[in-house]
Amino acid sequence: MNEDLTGAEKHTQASRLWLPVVIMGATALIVQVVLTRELLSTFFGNELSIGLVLAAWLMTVAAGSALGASRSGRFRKPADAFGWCQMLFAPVALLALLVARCVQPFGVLPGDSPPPGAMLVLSLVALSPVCFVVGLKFVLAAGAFSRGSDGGSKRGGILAKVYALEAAGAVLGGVTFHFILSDGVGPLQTLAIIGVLNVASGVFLVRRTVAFGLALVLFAGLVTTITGGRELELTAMRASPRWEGVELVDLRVSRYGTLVVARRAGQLGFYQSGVLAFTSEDEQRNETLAHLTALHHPRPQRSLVIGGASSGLPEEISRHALAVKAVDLDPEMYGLARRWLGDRPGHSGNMGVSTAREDSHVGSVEVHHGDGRLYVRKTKKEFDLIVLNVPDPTTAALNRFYTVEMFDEASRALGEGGILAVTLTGSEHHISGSVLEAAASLYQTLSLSFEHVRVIPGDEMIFMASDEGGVLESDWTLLVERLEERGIESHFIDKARIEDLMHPFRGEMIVNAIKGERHASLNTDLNPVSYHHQTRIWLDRLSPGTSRSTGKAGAALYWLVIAGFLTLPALVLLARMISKRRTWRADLGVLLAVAALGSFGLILELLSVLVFQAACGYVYHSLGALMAAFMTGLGLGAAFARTRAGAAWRHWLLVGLLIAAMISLLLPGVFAVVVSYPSLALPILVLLLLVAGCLVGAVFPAAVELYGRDECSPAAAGGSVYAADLAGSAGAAVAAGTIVVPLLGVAGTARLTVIVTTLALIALLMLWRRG
Amino acid sequence: MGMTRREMLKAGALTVLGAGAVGGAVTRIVGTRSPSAGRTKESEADKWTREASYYERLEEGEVRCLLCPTACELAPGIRGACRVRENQGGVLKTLVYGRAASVDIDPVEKKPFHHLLPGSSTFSFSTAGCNMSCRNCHNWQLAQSPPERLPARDLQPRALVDAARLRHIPIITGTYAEPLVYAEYLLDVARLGNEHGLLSTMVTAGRVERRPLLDLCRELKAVKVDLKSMSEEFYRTNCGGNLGPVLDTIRTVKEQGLWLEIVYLVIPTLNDGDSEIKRASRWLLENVGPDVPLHFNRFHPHHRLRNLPPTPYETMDRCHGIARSEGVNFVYTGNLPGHPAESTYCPGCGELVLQRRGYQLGENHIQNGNCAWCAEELPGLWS
Repeated sequence: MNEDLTGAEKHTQASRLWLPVVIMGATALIVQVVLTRELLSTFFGNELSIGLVLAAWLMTVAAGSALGASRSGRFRKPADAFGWCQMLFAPVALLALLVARCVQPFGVLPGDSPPPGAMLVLSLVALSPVCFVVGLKFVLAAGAFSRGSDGGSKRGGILAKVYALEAAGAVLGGVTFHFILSDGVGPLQTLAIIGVLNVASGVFLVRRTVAFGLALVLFAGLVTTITGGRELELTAMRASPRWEGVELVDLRVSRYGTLVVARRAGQLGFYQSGVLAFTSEDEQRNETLAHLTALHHPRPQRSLVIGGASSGLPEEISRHALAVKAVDLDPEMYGLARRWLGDRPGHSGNMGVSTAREDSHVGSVEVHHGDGRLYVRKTKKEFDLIVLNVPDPTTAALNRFYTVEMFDEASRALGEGGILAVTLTGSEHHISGSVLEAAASLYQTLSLSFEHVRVIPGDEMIFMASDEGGVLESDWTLLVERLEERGIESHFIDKARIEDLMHPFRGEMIVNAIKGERHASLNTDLNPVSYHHQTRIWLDRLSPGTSRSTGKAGAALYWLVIAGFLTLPALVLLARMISKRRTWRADLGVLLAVAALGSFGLILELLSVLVFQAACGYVYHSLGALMAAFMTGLGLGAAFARTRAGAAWRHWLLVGLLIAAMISLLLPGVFAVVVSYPSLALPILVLLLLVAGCLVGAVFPAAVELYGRDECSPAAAGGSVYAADLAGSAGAAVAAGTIVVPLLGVAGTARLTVIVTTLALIALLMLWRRG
Repeated sequence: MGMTRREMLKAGALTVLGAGAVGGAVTRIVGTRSPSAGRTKESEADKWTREASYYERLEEGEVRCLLCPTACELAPGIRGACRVRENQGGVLKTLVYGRAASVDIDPVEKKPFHHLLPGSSTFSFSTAGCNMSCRNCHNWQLAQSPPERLPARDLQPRALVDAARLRHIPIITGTYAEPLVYAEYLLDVARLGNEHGLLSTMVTAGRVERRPLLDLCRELKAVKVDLKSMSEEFYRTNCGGNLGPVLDTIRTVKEQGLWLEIVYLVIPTLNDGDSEIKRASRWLLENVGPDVPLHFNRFHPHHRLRNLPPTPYETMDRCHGIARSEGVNFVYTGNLPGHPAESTYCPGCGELVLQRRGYQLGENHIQNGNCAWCAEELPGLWS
């Protein structure tokens, strides 16, 4: 294959590839993050949509890699082809962003959330071209390194080099995005910046006149995009049907998402990653939540509001309490709200009725930017009232505010007779099905941490919890008395409304139904069920009764079918390749083992994040460290394997699976230690992920070495094994994220991973024995 | 040892079958639901099953439901689009007679009726089911579920009327989900209510055939109709229904002499255009006259439309202004406590005659149904 190159030329070609491959890894990761965020903005992201987008990404990369592997023999100059792909990557990624932003799923009205089928189709349409190029580039890079290597180089070593460089690039990309690009640089600009790197590395490899010409054109477009700044970003956003009928007036990029301010008829809406966070003129929600909860306490002096510091709720509560602390994660959002709403967010209505409030007492509001749960954990016996002002637990990240552990921490942060208030979307007149299960789960979870829990039904149900019974048992007349005593004038909470909401007959059926579900599942950090309940509610909203008619196992099968559907293209391609060969059994065993290890790696990452959260109460700022540990491990493992030329690769694969099973077996114990000693959480989990990454990274070259034996090229073997790795990860992303973790919990998921890796080990042994 | 394509397919099919078998077994083992989530045994369901009043028999045991314009043609064992009517052996049955899935006591202003015994309470009830599927439905669990999936209490007409009388509540209202789908139940409640001097009313989206509507009009005293839009497209895409029958219902209720109020929920970007509001106001003026109250209610994000903002105040004011300038005498804004347009003003002298703030009443200058300032007769059932 590479007889026509001299040794020096080969060396030069190989050394020229290093940097472009690192850039490939870095830019692929950044593009993935940017496009995933953009798609989640369209889908108003719940956990299911996160799983679907991740799986669609992994699977289309796998398909690209598998197709590249099946056609690898046709690339006469893989380094050039790799260079062209690098150049092509920039415009394709920008196009994907525009598709994700501007294509409205069929039959979905503005403000409506698309069904899973539409999500999947849009994800595939937007991501396929870019992912296909990513998958193909891996095969081409492998081919180019193979061509640049001397005949003695083992193909496992070649692939290990590509794998290690790509992993190093991913770590670099992750760090760059986290510390530089995620704070203040918009999605278009981000893609344009990394596009410049891609084009530069591409033209560096191709070095032809036509390539230089194309590069000049691309550079011009990319530089225009970069210099266009916020205005260009807003212009591109205005093209989206999502924003039809509203005027986009401001945009900020924070590390927690893209923030947009939209105006319609004088009302301002504040959106975080496409999801409506709050609006001006929303006195109804603020007054209802603030007054109903604060009136239950005889003297609420010190209050804490977690989340939504700029929504106006803290100011409303301050009319009861002398001091209100508001903890909010995102300072950018707070700054944006201050800019547009002034000092009294949420009160910019033109009803001409808010003037009455100026006469009443308003306490001070102190805003603290940071993680709400961490803040609660560090606080002891300080507050009379804690209001959890966060969205419904639709994601694993939000779920952590609704767990037993969180409520225990809140209980410790409350003073004597203190009240915790939590909200959940519900109904004023009826409750059943998935909504009832979610409400009952919250009720039971609160009951574990507090002696007394009271529910006020409504479109937004209010759950109040306290250790002092008398506090919550106040009847509506007492609340009206307190309202008058405190001189609070409110539009939405007055005598008639309090009587309507708190009358004993009101909502009797709802409250009894919630209390009657005694076997409702408890939501804990290590058994996060609430986001699963929310996914079921969401499915029921789209097609009523879906979650109930399918049941838990039905839902599991549903997602397994989706996972299967996603993995189908790659599996078909791989099967076609394998079926032509003598060694198909042995090859199938290799691919199964790699897929099992891929799913092991992804599940370990997912569980580590959950456990870290459980131990430390926060995760955002350490997420990068955890992910970087795994990616570094991948690189180190692959680099180590490169040095072991002539090793007994079969043993590596078998031992790899065995170690993965053993690590999975030990996980519950390790996680127990982490939860018991939070100060050790980060070092232990970083070490664990580093080791696991090393394992997966070291097995990859072994698998490439074993796959196809003498019947396929290094590029074909690398592409196939890479596809299997991604397919395993994709299946795990959907299955674990949406169903397995909520149903089985962290320990159960770890045990399931033991079973999966052990079955893969047995299958591998049997297939090798027969093959 | 190469594998042929046929062998590959065979292996694949076996894998799928195996996975299905395992899945089925898992479903049987894990799929058992908790026992307390509102399921109903067959024998219990029987007491809520009655022959429906509005249908015709077709050939081969099929029936056609004549309750609403959907006109479901149902083979034996099949249920209608409303989920509460089923062909049982060639006979159309309602499955929700006396099957109350929601019961509450509400202020009459909440329905909203602003010209019907102001300050009164109403005994509100609902079964499961609806013949539409609005994406902004506040009662979607009730409206979009078959009855056997919902916890319900047995509340036959006699018990329901007794419950209202026991609490001295003067009004009974079929509400929350769509009362038209439990027409037989509502009719019997209203008949019995009339015997005991109670006013029966309904809160409906108005998609119904003329015959059942006329039957209801004979027993009910007041009806509130949701006019969701003046656009067929909106009804089709957002509600799964059609506009024509709703307009017919509004006309018929007025012709039959019942007290009628109209609610228009203003949803930002979907049905809040000037021309649409103007068309709605004009149509009402031309077809039911200027004295039918028109309520513009403020939208709040709910059900599937959770990513739309609440209706801006300015839009509410604009809608109010358009309807007033078109000549509608009683235009109200809803879900905006404290807004001046919550109160009633005399069309004769323009003075405030009944002050409202949310569900709370303030000054009342209505005397025997007339304006205390200028003696103008005010339409409505005031006492």
